[in-house]
Amino acid sequence: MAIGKEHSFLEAQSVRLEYRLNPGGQRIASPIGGEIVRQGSSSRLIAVKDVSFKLAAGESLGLIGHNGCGKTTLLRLLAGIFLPTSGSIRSRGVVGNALNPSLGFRPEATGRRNIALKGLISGMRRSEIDQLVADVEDFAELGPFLDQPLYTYSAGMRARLTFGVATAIPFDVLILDEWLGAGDKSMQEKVAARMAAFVSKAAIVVLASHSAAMLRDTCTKGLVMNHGSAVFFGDIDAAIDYYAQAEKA
Amino acid sequence: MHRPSPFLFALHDLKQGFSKSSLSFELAVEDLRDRYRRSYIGVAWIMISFLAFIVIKQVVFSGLALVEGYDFFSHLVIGFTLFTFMSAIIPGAANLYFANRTWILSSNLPYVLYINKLIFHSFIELLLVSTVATLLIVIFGDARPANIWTILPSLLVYYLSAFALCLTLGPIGARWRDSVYAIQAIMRMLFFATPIIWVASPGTVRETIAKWNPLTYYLDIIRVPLITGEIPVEAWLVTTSCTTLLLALGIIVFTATRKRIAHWL
Repeated sequence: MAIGKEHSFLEAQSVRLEYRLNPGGQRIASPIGGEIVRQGSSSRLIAVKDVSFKLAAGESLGLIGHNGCGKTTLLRLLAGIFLPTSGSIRSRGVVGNALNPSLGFRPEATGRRNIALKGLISGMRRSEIDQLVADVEDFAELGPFLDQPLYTYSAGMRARLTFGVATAIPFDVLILDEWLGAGDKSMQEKVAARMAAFVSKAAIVVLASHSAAMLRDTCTKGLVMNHGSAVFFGDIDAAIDYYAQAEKA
Repeated sequence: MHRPSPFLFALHDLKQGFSKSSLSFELAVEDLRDRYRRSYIGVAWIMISFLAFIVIKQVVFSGLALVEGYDFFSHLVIGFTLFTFMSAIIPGAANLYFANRTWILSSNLPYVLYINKLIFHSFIELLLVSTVATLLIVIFGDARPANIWTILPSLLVYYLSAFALCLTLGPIGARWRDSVYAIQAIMRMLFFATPIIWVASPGTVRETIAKWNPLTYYLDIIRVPLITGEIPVEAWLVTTSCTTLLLALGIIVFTATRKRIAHWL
Protein backbone atom coordinates (compact mmCIF):
# COMPACT_ATOMS: atom_id res chain seq x y z
CA MET A 1 0.00 0.00 0.00
CA ALA A 2 2.75 2.47 0.92
CA ILE A 3 4.51 4.38 -1.88
CA GLY A 4 8.03 4.49 -0.53
CA LYS A 5 8.66 6.54 2.52
CA GLU A 6 11.47 8.76 1.25
CA HIS A 7 9.06 10.69 -1.00
CA SER A 8 6.43 11.34 1.64
CA PHE A 9 5.56 14.72 3.08
CA LEU A 10 2.71 16.35 4.97
CA GLU A 11 2.08 20.07 4.80
CA ALA A 12 -0.60 22.24 6.41
CA GLN A 13 -0.90 25.80 5.16
CA SER A 14 -3.00 28.23 7.20
CA VAL A 15 -5.51 25.48 7.94
CA ARG A 16 -8.68 26.85 9.45
CA LEU A 17 -11.90 25.10 10.39
CA GLU A 18 -14.81 27.21 11.46
CA TYR A 19 -18.54 27.14 11.20
CA ARG A 20 -21.63 28.92 12.41
CA LEU A 21 -23.31 27.72 15.56
CA ASN A 22 -27.05 27.70 15.89
CA PRO A 23 -28.57 30.37 18.15
CA GLY A 24 -27.73 29.50 21.71
CA GLY A 25 -24.73 27.53 20.49
CA GLN A 26 -26.13 24.16 21.50
CA ARG A 27 -25.65 22.45 18.20
CA ILE A 28 -22.02 21.39 18.36
CA ALA A 29 -22.65 17.76 17.71
CA SER A 30 -19.01 16.76 17.50
CA PRO A 31 -16.98 17.09 20.68
CA ILE A 32 -14.48 19.55 19.32
CA GLY A 33 -12.61 22.33 21.01
CA GLY A 34 -11.50 25.72 19.79
CA GLU A 35 -12.79 29.23 20.24
CA ILE A 36 -16.34 30.56 20.05
CA VAL A 37 -16.60 34.03 18.51
CA ARG A 38 -19.79 36.10 18.71
CA GLN A 39 -20.81 37.98 15.56
CA GLY A 40 -23.92 40.02 16.29
CA SER A 41 -26.70 37.60 17.17
CA SER A 42 -24.87 34.54 15.84
CA SER A 43 -21.77 32.66 16.99
CA ARG A 44 -19.01 30.94 15.10
CA LEU A 45 -16.82 28.15 16.32
CA ILE A 46 -13.19 28.40 15.24
CA ALA A 47 -12.11 24.83 15.88
CA VAL A 48 -8.70 25.18 14.23
CA LYS A 49 -7.21 28.59 13.54
CA ASP A 50 -4.66 29.10 10.76
CA VAL A 51 -2.33 26.21 11.59
CA SER A 52 0.74 25.74 9.41
CA PHE A 53 3.59 23.26 9.44
CA LYS A 54 5.53 21.05 7.08
CA LEU A 55 6.90 17.60 7.78
CA ALA A 56 9.33 15.74 5.55
CA ALA A 57 9.97 12.01 5.51
CA GLY A 58 11.61 10.92 8.75
CA GLU A 59 9.96 13.65 10.82
CA SER A 60 7.21 13.04 13.31
CA LEU A 61 5.02 15.59 15.01
CA GLY A 62 3.62 15.59 18.52
CA LEU A 63 0.46 17.63 19.14
CA ILE A 64 0.48 19.11 22.61
CA GLY A 65 -2.23 20.96 24.48
CA HIS A 66 -4.95 20.73 27.08
CA ASN A 67 -8.20 18.87 26.46
CA GLY A 68 -10.44 20.69 24.00
CA CYS A 69 -7.65 22.76 22.42
CA GLY A 70 -8.29 21.27 18.97
CA LYS A 71 -5.78 18.39 18.77
CA THR A 72 -8.32 15.75 17.74
CA THR A 73 -9.97 18.13 15.29
CA LEU A 74 -6.59 18.84 13.68
CA LEU A 75 -5.92 15.09 13.49
CA ARG A 76 -9.29 14.64 11.76
CA LEU A 77 -8.40 17.39 9.32
CA LEU A 78 -5.05 15.75 8.57
CA ALA A 79 -6.79 12.37 8.14
CA GLY A 80 -9.27 13.87 5.63
CA ILE A 81 -12.31 13.32 7.88
CA PHE A 82 -12.98 17.07 8.15
CA LEU A 83 -12.26 19.48 5.31
CA PRO A 84 -10.66 22.84 6.12
CA THR A 85 -12.78 25.98 5.73
CA SER A 86 -9.70 27.74 4.36
CA GLY A 87 -6.07 26.88 3.87
CA SER A 88 -4.91 23.56 2.53
CA ILE A 89 -3.43 20.23 3.54
CA ARG A 90 -1.15 18.55 1.06
CA SER A 91 0.45 15.17 1.42
CA ARG A 92 2.26 12.53 -0.54
CA GLY A 93 1.98 8.92 0.47
CA VAL A 94 -0.82 6.80 1.82
CA VAL A 95 -2.36 8.54 4.81
CA GLY A 96 -3.77 6.22 7.43
CA ASN A 97 -5.16 6.79 10.83
CA ALA A 98 -5.62 4.81 14.00
CA LEU A 99 -7.97 7.32 15.58
CA ASN A 100 -10.40 4.54 16.48
CA PRO A 101 -8.56 1.19 16.31
CA SER A 102 -11.65 -0.87 17.10
CA LEU A 103 -13.67 0.72 14.29
CA GLY A 104 -15.42 -1.94 12.24
CA PHE A 105 -15.08 -4.75 14.77
CA ARG A 106 -18.22 -6.81 15.09
CA PRO A 107 -18.85 -8.57 18.39
CA GLU A 108 -20.83 -11.35 16.72
CA ALA A 109 -18.18 -12.18 14.11
CA THR A 110 -15.13 -14.36 14.79
CA GLY A 111 -11.72 -12.85 15.40
CA ARG A 112 -10.55 -14.21 12.04
CA ARG A 113 -13.49 -12.66 10.19
CA ASN A 114 -12.94 -9.35 11.98
CA ILE A 115 -9.31 -9.27 10.86
CA ALA A 116 -10.38 -9.97 7.27
CA LEU A 117 -13.02 -7.23 7.43
CA LYS A 118 -10.48 -4.73 8.74
CA GLY A 119 -8.23 -5.66 5.83
CA LEU A 120 -11.08 -5.08 3.36
CA ILE A 121 -11.91 -1.75 4.98
CA SER A 122 -8.28 -0.73 4.59
CA GLY A 123 -8.41 -1.52 0.88
CA MET A 124 -6.36 -4.71 0.96
CA ARG A 125 -6.59 -7.40 -1.69
CA ARG A 126 -7.59 -10.96 -0.79
CA SER A 127 -4.01 -12.22 -1.01
CA GLU A 128 -2.85 -9.44 1.33
CA ILE A 129 -5.66 -10.26 3.75
CA ASP A 130 -4.44 -13.84 4.12
CA GLN A 131 -1.04 -12.44 5.11
CA LEU A 132 -2.71 -9.98 7.50
CA VAL A 133 -4.65 -12.76 9.23
CA ALA A 134 -1.47 -14.83 9.61
CA ASP A 135 0.45 -11.85 11.01
CA VAL A 136 -2.21 -10.93 13.58
CA GLU A 137 -2.76 -14.58 14.50
CA ASP A 138 0.94 -14.88 15.25
CA PHE A 139 1.03 -11.68 17.33
CA ALA A 140 -2.22 -11.95 19.27
CA GLU A 141 -1.68 -15.56 20.41
CA LEU A 142 -5.39 -16.25 20.58
CA GLY A 143 -5.14 -19.89 19.54
CA PRO A 144 -8.52 -21.50 18.84
CA PHE A 145 -10.29 -18.36 20.11
CA LEU A 146 -9.48 -16.73 16.78
CA ASP A 147 -12.38 -18.76 15.37
CA GLN A 148 -14.75 -17.79 18.18
CA PRO A 149 -17.01 -14.71 18.18
CA LEU A 150 -15.43 -11.53 19.50
CA TYR A 151 -18.01 -11.19 22.28
CA THR A 152 -16.54 -14.30 23.93
CA TYR A 153 -13.12 -12.62 24.32
CA SER A 154 -11.78 -11.21 27.58
CA ALA A 155 -10.80 -7.51 27.60
CA GLY A 156 -7.14 -8.48 27.23
CA MET A 157 -7.76 -10.80 24.30
CA ARG A 158 -9.84 -8.19 22.59
CA ALA A 159 -7.18 -5.53 23.14
CA ARG A 160 -4.50 -7.84 21.66
CA LEU A 161 -6.59 -8.45 18.57
CA THR A 162 -7.37 -4.73 18.15
CA PHE A 163 -3.74 -3.74 18.64
CA GLY A 164 -2.52 -6.53 16.38
CA VAL A 165 -4.75 -5.42 13.51
CA ALA A 166 -4.18 -1.68 14.02
CA THR A 167 -0.41 -2.13 13.84
CA ALA A 168 -0.39 -4.59 10.94
CA ILE A 169 -1.39 -2.25 8.13
CA PRO A 170 1.48 0.04 7.06
CA PHE A 171 0.99 3.67 6.02
CA ASP A 172 3.33 6.36 4.76
CA VAL A 173 1.70 9.04 6.88
CA LEU A 174 0.29 7.80 10.14
CA ILE A 175 -2.17 9.78 12.28
CA LEU A 176 -2.52 8.63 15.91
CA ASP A 177 -4.61 9.95 18.76
CA GLU A 178 -2.95 9.11 22.07
CA TRP A 179 -1.12 5.83 22.07
CA LEU A 180 -2.31 2.44 21.07
CA GLY A 181 -1.99 -0.16 23.78
CA ALA A 182 -2.78 -3.82 24.13
CA GLY A 183 -3.62 -3.54 27.81
CA ASP A 184 -1.95 -6.83 28.63
CA LYS A 185 1.01 -6.74 31.03
CA SER A 186 2.24 -10.19 30.06
CA MET A 187 2.85 -8.95 26.52
CA GLN A 188 4.34 -5.55 27.24
CA GLU A 189 7.69 -6.14 25.55
CA LYS A 190 6.10 -7.69 22.51
CA VAL A 191 3.62 -4.82 22.31
CA ALA A 192 6.36 -2.17 22.63
CA ALA A 193 8.46 -3.85 19.92
CA ARG A 194 5.51 -4.14 17.56
CA MET A 195 4.50 -0.52 18.13
CA ALA A 196 8.04 0.69 17.46
CA ALA A 197 8.16 -1.36 14.25
CA PHE A 198 4.77 -0.01 13.18
CA VAL A 199 5.81 3.61 13.69
CA SER A 200 9.15 3.05 11.99
CA LYS A 201 7.40 1.75 8.86
CA ALA A 202 5.70 5.12 8.44
CA ALA A 203 7.68 7.98 6.97
CA ILE A 204 5.73 10.54 8.97
CA VAL A 205 3.84 10.18 12.23
CA VAL A 206 1.50 12.71 13.81
CA LEU A 207 0.64 11.86 17.38
CA ALA A 208 -1.53 13.67 19.93
CA SER A 209 -0.63 12.81 23.49
CA HIS A 210 -0.46 14.15 27.02
CA SER A 211 2.60 12.06 27.83
CA ALA A 212 5.85 14.04 27.57
CA ALA A 213 7.93 10.84 27.70
CA MET A 214 5.98 9.25 24.88
CA LEU A 215 6.21 12.39 22.76
CA ARG A 216 9.97 12.61 23.31
CA ASP A 217 10.40 8.93 22.38
CA THR A 218 8.33 9.14 19.22
CA CYS A 219 8.44 12.69 17.85
CA THR A 220 11.05 15.01 16.41
CA LYS A 221 8.80 18.08 16.25
CA GLY A 222 6.14 19.47 18.54
CA LEU A 223 3.17 21.72 17.91
CA VAL A 224 1.54 23.34 20.94
CA MET A 225 -2.13 24.22 20.53
CA ASN A 226 -4.33 26.58 22.50
CA HIS A 227 -7.97 27.38 21.65
CA GLY A 228 -7.52 25.98 18.15
CA SER A 229 -4.38 27.99 17.37
CA ALA A 230 -0.82 26.76 16.99
CA VAL A 231 1.08 28.81 19.56
CA PHE A 232 4.42 27.04 19.13
CA PHE A 233 6.02 24.85 16.49
CA GLY A 234 9.56 23.58 16.79
CA ASP A 235 11.73 20.79 18.16
CA ILE A 236 9.87 18.41 20.45
CA ASP A 237 11.92 19.25 23.55
CA ALA A 238 11.40 22.97 23.06
CA ALA A 239 7.68 22.42 22.46
CA ILE A 240 7.29 20.40 25.64
CA ASP A 241 9.18 23.05 27.61
CA TYR A 242 7.06 25.82 26.07
CA TYR A 243 3.86 24.01 27.05
CA ALA A 244 5.13 23.38 30.60
CA GLN A 245 5.99 27.10 30.99
CA ALA A 246 2.63 28.17 29.58
CA GLU A 247 0.82 25.87 32.01
CA LYS A 248 2.68 27.41 34.94
CA ALA A 249 1.96 31.00 33.84
CA MET B 1 -5.47 17.56 -2.34
CA HIS B 2 -7.82 18.79 0.30
CA ARG B 3 -9.47 21.98 -0.89
CA PRO B 4 -11.08 20.91 -4.18
CA SER B 5 -14.31 22.53 -5.37
CA PRO B 6 -17.47 21.09 -3.79
CA PHE B 7 -18.41 19.43 -7.09
CA LEU B 8 -15.01 17.79 -7.58
CA PHE B 9 -15.00 16.69 -3.97
CA ALA B 10 -18.45 15.08 -4.31
CA LEU B 11 -17.37 13.51 -7.59
CA HIS B 12 -14.26 12.09 -5.91
CA ASP B 13 -16.46 10.57 -3.20
CA LEU B 14 -18.74 8.99 -5.83
CA LYS B 15 -15.77 7.57 -7.72
CA GLN B 16 -14.10 6.21 -4.59
CA GLY B 17 -17.39 4.88 -3.27
CA PHE B 18 -18.15 2.88 -6.40
CA SER B 19 -14.61 1.51 -6.45
CA LYS B 20 -15.39 0.05 -3.01
CA SER B 21 -18.67 -1.58 -4.03
CA SER B 22 -17.44 -5.03 -3.03
CA LEU B 23 -16.69 -3.71 0.49
CA SER B 24 -20.19 -2.20 0.63
CA PHE B 25 -21.58 -5.62 -0.24
CA GLU B 26 -19.43 -7.42 2.35
CA LEU B 27 -20.52 -4.98 5.06
CA ALA B 28 -24.17 -5.31 4.02
CA VAL B 29 -23.93 -9.10 4.36
CA GLU B 30 -22.18 -8.72 7.71
CA ASP B 31 -24.94 -6.37 8.96
CA LEU B 32 -27.51 -8.98 8.02
CA ARG B 33 -25.52 -11.78 9.64
CA ASP B 34 -25.05 -9.71 12.79
CA ARG B 35 -28.76 -9.16 13.14
CA TYR B 36 -29.52 -12.88 13.13
CA ARG B 37 -26.41 -14.37 14.74
CA ARG B 38 -27.18 -16.68 17.66
CA SER B 39 -30.51 -17.47 15.98
CA TYR B 40 -31.11 -21.04 14.79
CA ILE B 41 -32.87 -20.13 11.58
CA GLY B 42 -31.16 -16.79 10.96
CA VAL B 43 -32.29 -14.80 7.95
CA ALA B 44 -35.23 -17.19 7.50
CA TRP B 45 -36.95 -14.91 10.03
CA ILE B 46 -37.23 -12.29 7.31
CA MET B 47 -39.17 -14.76 5.18
CA ILE B 48 -41.28 -16.00 8.09
CA SER B 49 -42.24 -12.47 9.04
CA PHE B 50 -43.24 -11.78 5.44
CA LEU B 51 -45.25 -14.99 5.25
CA ALA B 52 -47.02 -14.19 8.54
CA PHE B 53 -48.15 -10.83 7.19
CA ILE B 54 -49.56 -12.37 4.01
CA VAL B 55 -51.37 -15.10 5.95
CA ILE B 56 -52.94 -12.72 8.49
CA LYS B 57 -53.93 -10.33 5.72
CA GLN B 58 -55.65 -13.12 3.82
CA VAL B 59 -57.43 -14.41 6.94
CA VAL B 60 -58.61 -11.01 8.21
CA PHE B 61 -59.58 -9.52 4.86
CA SER B 62 -60.79 -12.67 3.10
CA GLY B 63 -64.15 -12.16 1.51
CA LEU B 64 -63.35 -8.67 0.31
CA ALA B 65 -63.58 -9.30 -3.41
CA LEU B 66 -62.08 -6.13 -4.76
CA VAL B 67 -62.02 -6.38 -8.53
CA GLU B 68 -63.69 -9.16 -10.44
CA GLY B 69 -61.25 -11.31 -12.38
CA TYR B 70 -58.16 -9.60 -10.93
CA ASP B 71 -55.56 -11.68 -9.13
CA PHE B 72 -55.65 -9.72 -5.87
CA PHE B 73 -53.55 -12.30 -4.04
CA SER B 74 -50.60 -11.75 -6.37
CA HIS B 75 -51.26 -8.00 -6.20
CA LEU B 76 -50.92 -8.14 -2.41
CA VAL B 77 -47.89 -10.42 -2.37
CA ILE B 78 -45.91 -8.49 -4.99
CA GLY B 79 -46.94 -5.14 -3.53
CA PHE B 80 -45.84 -6.08 -0.03
CA THR B 81 -42.59 -7.59 -1.34
CA LEU B 82 -41.62 -4.37 -3.09
CA PHE B 83 -42.79 -2.20 -0.19
CA THR B 84 -40.36 -4.13 2.03
CA PHE B 85 -37.56 -2.63 -0.05
CA MET B 86 -39.06 0.86 -0.05
CA SER B 87 -39.68 0.87 3.68
CA ALA B 88 -36.03 -0.05 4.28
CA ILE B 89 -34.63 2.52 1.87
CA ILE B 90 -36.64 5.68 2.56
CA PRO B 91 -36.20 5.95 6.38
CA GLY B 92 -32.73 4.37 6.04
CA ALA B 93 -31.69 7.11 3.61
CA ALA B 94 -32.69 9.82 6.08
CA ASN B 95 -30.85 8.10 8.94
CA LEU B 96 -27.87 7.11 6.80
CA TYR B 97 -25.16 9.29 8.31
CA PHE B 98 -26.26 8.96 11.93
CA ALA B 99 -26.32 5.18 11.52
CA ASN B 100 -22.69 5.35 10.33
CA ARG B 101 -21.59 8.19 12.62
CA THR B 102 -18.71 6.32 14.27
CA TRP B 103 -17.29 5.31 10.91
CA ILE B 104 -17.61 8.77 9.44
CA LEU B 105 -15.84 10.43 12.39
CA SER B 106 -13.04 7.86 12.52
CA SER B 107 -12.17 7.16 8.91
CA ASN B 108 -12.02 8.92 5.58
CA LEU B 109 -13.97 6.27 3.71
CA PRO B 110 -16.22 7.66 0.96
CA TYR B 111 -19.81 8.30 2.00
CA VAL B 112 -21.07 6.48 -1.09
CA LEU B 113 -19.80 3.31 0.60
CA TYR B 114 -22.51 3.75 3.26
CA ILE B 115 -25.15 4.49 0.62
CA ASN B 116 -24.36 1.30 -1.29
CA LYS B 117 -24.23 -0.70 1.94
CA LEU B 118 -27.80 0.33 2.75
CA ILE B 119 -29.03 -0.39 -0.78
CA PHE B 120 -27.28 -3.76 -1.04
CA HIS B 121 -28.63 -4.73 2.38
CA SER B 122 -32.15 -3.86 1.24
CA PHE B 123 -31.72 -5.73 -2.03
CA ILE B 124 -30.60 -8.87 -0.18
CA GLU B 125 -33.72 -8.69 2.00
CA LEU B 126 -35.81 -8.12 -1.14
CA LEU B 127 -34.27 -11.23 -2.69
CA LEU B 128 -35.07 -13.34 0.37
CA VAL B 129 -38.65 -12.11 0.52
CA SER B 130 -39.04 -12.57 -3.25
CA THR B 131 -38.31 -16.29 -3.00
CA VAL B 132 -41.27 -16.71 -0.61
CA ALA B 133 -43.40 -14.42 -2.75
CA THR B 134 -42.62 -16.42 -5.90
CA LEU B 135 -43.59 -19.69 -4.20
CA LEU B 136 -46.84 -18.18 -2.90
CA ILE B 137 -47.81 -16.81 -6.30
CA VAL B 138 -46.99 -20.06 -8.10
CA ILE B 139 -49.05 -22.08 -5.58
CA PHE B 140 -51.98 -19.76 -4.78
CA GLY B 141 -51.93 -16.98 -7.36
CA ASP B 142 -53.56 -16.64 -10.75
CA ALA B 143 -51.04 -14.37 -12.41
CA ARG B 144 -50.47 -14.37 -16.17
CA PRO B 145 -46.90 -13.09 -16.31
CA ALA B 146 -45.35 -11.84 -19.51
CA ASN B 147 -42.63 -9.33 -20.30
CA ILE B 148 -40.84 -10.52 -17.19
CA TRP B 149 -37.60 -9.12 -18.63
CA THR B 150 -38.84 -5.68 -17.55
CA ILE B 151 -37.96 -6.63 -13.97
CA LEU B 152 -34.29 -6.05 -14.75
CA PRO B 153 -34.61 -2.42 -15.89
CA SER B 154 -37.12 -1.94 -13.06
CA LEU B 155 -34.52 -3.00 -10.53
CA LEU B 156 -32.09 -0.54 -12.10
CA VAL B 157 -34.71 2.19 -11.59
CA TYR B 158 -35.08 1.03 -7.97
CA TYR B 159 -31.32 1.18 -7.44
CA LEU B 160 -30.94 4.62 -9.01
CA SER B 161 -33.93 6.04 -7.13
CA ALA B 162 -32.67 4.58 -3.84
CA PHE B 163 -29.21 6.02 -4.51
CA ALA B 164 -30.66 9.43 -5.34
CA LEU B 165 -32.84 9.35 -2.20
CA CYS B 166 -29.77 8.66 -0.07
CA LEU B 167 -27.91 11.55 -1.72
CA THR B 168 -30.87 13.83 -1.01
CA LEU B 169 -32.29 12.70 2.32
CA GLY B 170 -29.02 11.69 3.99
CA PRO B 171 -27.66 15.24 4.47
CA ILE B 172 -31.13 16.54 5.41
CA GLY B 173 -31.45 13.84 8.08
CA ALA B 174 -27.96 14.62 9.40
CA ARG B 175 -28.66 18.37 9.60
CA TRP B 176 -32.24 18.25 10.86
CA ARG B 177 -32.76 15.21 13.03
CA ASP B 178 -36.53 15.78 13.16
CA SER B 179 -36.75 14.97 9.47
CA VAL B 180 -35.74 11.37 10.24
CA TYR B 181 -38.69 10.91 12.59
CA ALA B 182 -41.00 12.74 10.20
CA ILE B 183 -40.01 10.41 7.36
CA GLN B 184 -40.52 7.34 9.58
CA ALA B 185 -44.04 8.60 10.37
CA ILE B 186 -44.76 9.34 6.71
CA MET B 187 -43.54 5.86 5.75
CA ARG B 188 -46.03 4.21 8.09
CA MET B 189 -48.76 6.32 6.54
CA LEU B 190 -47.56 5.52 3.03
CA PHE B 191 -48.15 1.84 3.59
CA PHE B 192 -51.87 2.54 3.77
CA ALA B 193 -51.74 5.22 1.05
CA THR B 194 -50.16 2.84 -1.47
CA PRO B 195 -52.17 0.21 -3.34
CA ILE B 196 -50.83 -2.85 -1.53
CA ILE B 197 -53.74 -4.10 0.56
CA TRP B 198 -56.23 -2.38 -1.71
CA VAL B 199 -56.79 -1.79 -5.40
CA ALA B 200 -57.20 1.62 -7.02
CA SER B 201 -60.69 1.03 -8.34
CA PRO B 202 -61.78 3.62 -10.93
CA GLY B 203 -63.87 6.53 -9.66
CA THR B 204 -62.93 6.10 -6.01
CA VAL B 205 -60.92 8.20 -3.55
CA ARG B 206 -58.40 5.39 -3.57
CA GLU B 207 -57.79 5.97 -7.28
CA THR B 208 -56.97 9.63 -6.57
CA ILE B 209 -54.63 8.68 -3.71
CA ALA B 210 -52.88 6.11 -5.86
CA LYS B 211 -52.58 8.54 -8.75
CA TRP B 212 -50.73 11.15 -6.66
CA ASN B 213 -48.56 8.64 -4.82
CA PRO B 214 -45.30 8.04 -6.74
CA LEU B 215 -44.82 4.69 -5.00
CA THR B 216 -47.83 3.37 -6.95
CA TYR B 217 -45.89 3.74 -10.18
CA TYR B 218 -42.78 2.14 -8.69
CA LEU B 219 -44.92 -0.87 -7.74
CA ASP B 220 -46.63 -0.97 -11.11
CA ILE B 221 -43.49 -1.23 -13.24
CA ILE B 222 -42.86 -4.65 -11.68
CA ARG B 223 -46.31 -5.75 -10.56
CA VAL B 224 -48.36 -5.08 -13.71
CA PRO B 225 -46.23 -7.20 -16.11
CA LEU B 226 -46.18 -10.02 -13.55
CA ILE B 227 -49.97 -10.05 -13.06
CA THR B 228 -51.42 -8.99 -16.40
CA GLY B 229 -48.47 -9.31 -18.75
CA GLU B 230 -48.82 -5.70 -19.91
CA ILE B 231 -46.13 -3.03 -19.85
CA PRO B 232 -47.41 0.00 -17.86
CA VAL B 233 -46.20 2.85 -20.05
CA GLU B 234 -47.46 5.63 -17.76
CA ALA B 235 -45.75 4.06 -14.74
CA TRP B 236 -42.49 3.86 -16.67
CA LEU B 237 -42.75 7.52 -17.68
CA VAL B 238 -43.42 8.59 -14.10
CA THR B 239 -40.71 6.44 -12.50
CA THR B 240 -37.99 7.35 -14.99
CA SER B 241 -38.90 11.04 -14.63
CA CYS B 242 -38.87 10.77 -10.82
CA THR B 243 -35.54 8.97 -10.91
CA THR B 244 -33.97 11.59 -13.18
CA LEU B 245 -35.27 14.46 -11.04
CA LEU B 246 -34.19 12.76 -7.82
CA LEU B 247 -30.71 12.11 -9.20
CA ALA B 248 -30.32 15.74 -10.24
CA LEU B 249 -31.56 16.92 -6.84
CA GLY B 250 -29.40 14.35 -5.05
CA ILE B 251 -26.24 15.48 -6.84
CA ILE B 252 -27.02 19.12 -6.00
CA VAL B 253 -27.69 18.37 -2.31
CA PHE B 254 -24.71 16.03 -1.94
CA THR B 255 -22.37 18.50 -3.67
CA ALA B 256 -23.58 21.37 -1.49
CA THR B 257 -23.33 19.45 1.79
CA ARG B 258 -20.65 16.77 1.46
CA LYS B 259 -17.93 18.81 3.17
CA ARG B 260 -20.17 19.70 6.13
CA ILE B 261 -21.93 16.42 6.91
CA ALA B 262 -19.28 15.23 9.40
CA HIS B 263 -19.79 18.40 11.47
CA TRP B 264 -23.49 17.70 11.86
CA LEU B 265 -22.99 14.27 13.43
